[in-house]
Amino acid sequence: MKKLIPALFALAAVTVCVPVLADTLADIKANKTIKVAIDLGNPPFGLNNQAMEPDGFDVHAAQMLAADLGVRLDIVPTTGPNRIPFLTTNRADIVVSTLANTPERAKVVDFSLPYAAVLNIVAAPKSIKITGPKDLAGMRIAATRGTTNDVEVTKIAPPTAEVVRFDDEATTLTSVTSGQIKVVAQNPLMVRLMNEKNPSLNLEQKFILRQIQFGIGVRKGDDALKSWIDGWIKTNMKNGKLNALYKKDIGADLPPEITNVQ
Amino acid sequence: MNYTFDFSFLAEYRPMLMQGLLMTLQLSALSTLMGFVAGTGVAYLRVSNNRLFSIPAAIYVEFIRNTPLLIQAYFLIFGLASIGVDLPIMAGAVIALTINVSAYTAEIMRAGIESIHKGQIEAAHCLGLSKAQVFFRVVLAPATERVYPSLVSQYVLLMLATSILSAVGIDELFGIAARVQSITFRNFEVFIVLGVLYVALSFVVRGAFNLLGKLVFPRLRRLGTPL
Amino acid sequence: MTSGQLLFLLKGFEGTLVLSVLTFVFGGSLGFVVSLMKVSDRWWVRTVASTYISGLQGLPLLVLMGLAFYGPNIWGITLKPLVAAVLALMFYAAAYFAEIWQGCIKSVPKSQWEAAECLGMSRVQRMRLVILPQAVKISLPPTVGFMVQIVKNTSIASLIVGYAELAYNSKILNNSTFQPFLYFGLAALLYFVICYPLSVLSKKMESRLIQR
Repeated sequence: MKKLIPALFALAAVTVCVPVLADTLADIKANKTIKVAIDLGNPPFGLNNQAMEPDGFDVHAAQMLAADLGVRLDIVPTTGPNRIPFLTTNRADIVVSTLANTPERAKVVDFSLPYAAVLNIVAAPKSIKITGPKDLAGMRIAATRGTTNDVEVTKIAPPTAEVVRFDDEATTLTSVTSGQIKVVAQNPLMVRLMNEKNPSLNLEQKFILRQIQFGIGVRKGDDALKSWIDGWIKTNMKNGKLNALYKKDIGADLPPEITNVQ
Repeated sequence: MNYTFDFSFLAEYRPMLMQGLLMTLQLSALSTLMGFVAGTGVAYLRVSNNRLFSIPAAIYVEFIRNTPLLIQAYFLIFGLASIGVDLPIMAGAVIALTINVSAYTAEIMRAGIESIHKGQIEAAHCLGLSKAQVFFRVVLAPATERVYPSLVSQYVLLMLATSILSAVGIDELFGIAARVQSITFRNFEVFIVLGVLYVALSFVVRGAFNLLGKLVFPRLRRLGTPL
Repeated sequence: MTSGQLLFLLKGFEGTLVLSVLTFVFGGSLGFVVSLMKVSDRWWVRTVASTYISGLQGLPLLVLMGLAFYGPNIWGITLKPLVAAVLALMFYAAAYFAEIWQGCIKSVPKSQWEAAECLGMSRVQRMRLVILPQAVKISLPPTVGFMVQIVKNTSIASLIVGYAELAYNSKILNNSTFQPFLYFGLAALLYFVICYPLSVLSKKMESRLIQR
């Protein structure tokens, strides 16, 4: 008995300290399930429809990916800031959630080829005159924490501007549609949705922050999975399926630099 | 354990975290003060003989005390936003916290007020003190002294609860920390730092309240116990 | 409001109940152990208990949730949201339960301790047969009162951990319908329906105790 306990500790120590080599693709195939992190509060990319079922472009893309991989889809709902932590803490296998490829993120996760793109813009009511970052002085700007909108607008905002950050897209949307905050850093689709919710807002695009391309996020070093996904994206860009999905959910075509992938 | 701890973010983001800490203290101080005043007022209504005052006060206290702060904050801030009320977020947060803590204060102060012997009040009236003097000097001051420890505990809890307000967009300590997490992705390290900061804050706040109590209540200072 | 949406809200209500019961069971068990430690003869056992109680009471539940959710990953363990939430709530509740119960144990009159000692009982027998039964009676009102706090604090599991309890589901419903008064109002009502009876029960127990 005296020898058993130290032996058990040693065994436990070895077990938890053995480095786990990431081969998520093998695990996914073995479990016949893929866990995909998607922000379901991010219309029209991720949302819950009237029947409280997941819907939107990211959801449909994930469904297509799972079907082509021959496994069951398990959607892990996240918020903007949680997308990457969920991936790095093994709560999801991949992230399909308007995840823009930025150098800071590339330090922590790996990205697939781009599968969609969107603009990050600053929008405000027609009545407010804003032509560039300088005009934002002294204003409050709404943005969702941890998104590229947040990062980009924070970079260019003058010192007297105040970026007000919310935990998720819906809260940001609420702050604008209620008239609480007049200026917002978002993508044009969200701005359109805000105008739909409150027509008196009259939001219009003031200037572009950045064009961002979304990739599917995988854990660092997960090369087998990444190359499968890259192959899947190439195939479905060439056969136009991804573009058809984008058109149906978003209402526009994907930009050519994304569809003409080599 | 394969995890390599990385606390390097502390160097770069310390000013930001300190700003958040300041905001936490500001929110707590404002809501504590306003909550105490409002709560005492509600307690006064609650112990009134007039049912027109005591029953609405009771309903208010029971409803606030039996629903979570998070739902109250959502209801207030999202609710007001949906009917187009243009309220600055800081104001909304202070109002939500004040309403919440006023109900708990009311309950504590009610116990304190009811513990004042009726004889004290009658004697004061006999001595010719005005109604206001009776209320403030004979009832309120001794009552507050008696329940001071409970009040202090409540207000320390309030300071900790300000972290919940990060869910509605306030950049207090927890909200700022969330920002740091979304930039550095060092979630666990940030939570450890937060833990240390909040424990330190709670000691400081409690100490400050204890000091205040000794200053305001001379009996406490001299005798060590309230009357 | 569609029936699907109402059902979604009620599913959240179920999550709140599950979380509350699990917290009471696990938090209560740990809290009981810590409360016994706090009244121990040995000073170092008492110190460990005091440190735990003071430390935990200086932490917001949100921070505990974060530690419970992301902490285990440093050992390669990924906890499900429910498990992380129960873990955080368990440590939180245990500190407050321990504080309440050690006070109740201490409030049993010293004469009871002495009489039991005179009767030749061991320390364990004294605790089990004489002190604890009396302490339990005294502890019922504040324990039931704290249950109300537990139920309200389960709402914190909607943040960080993202467990599908009432606050989480009502937020999602608001996100898709933008009817905050309806969904947060209903959520508040559902919390009230559990908490108010518990509060009333606690008060009743207290007045009965005083009468004795």
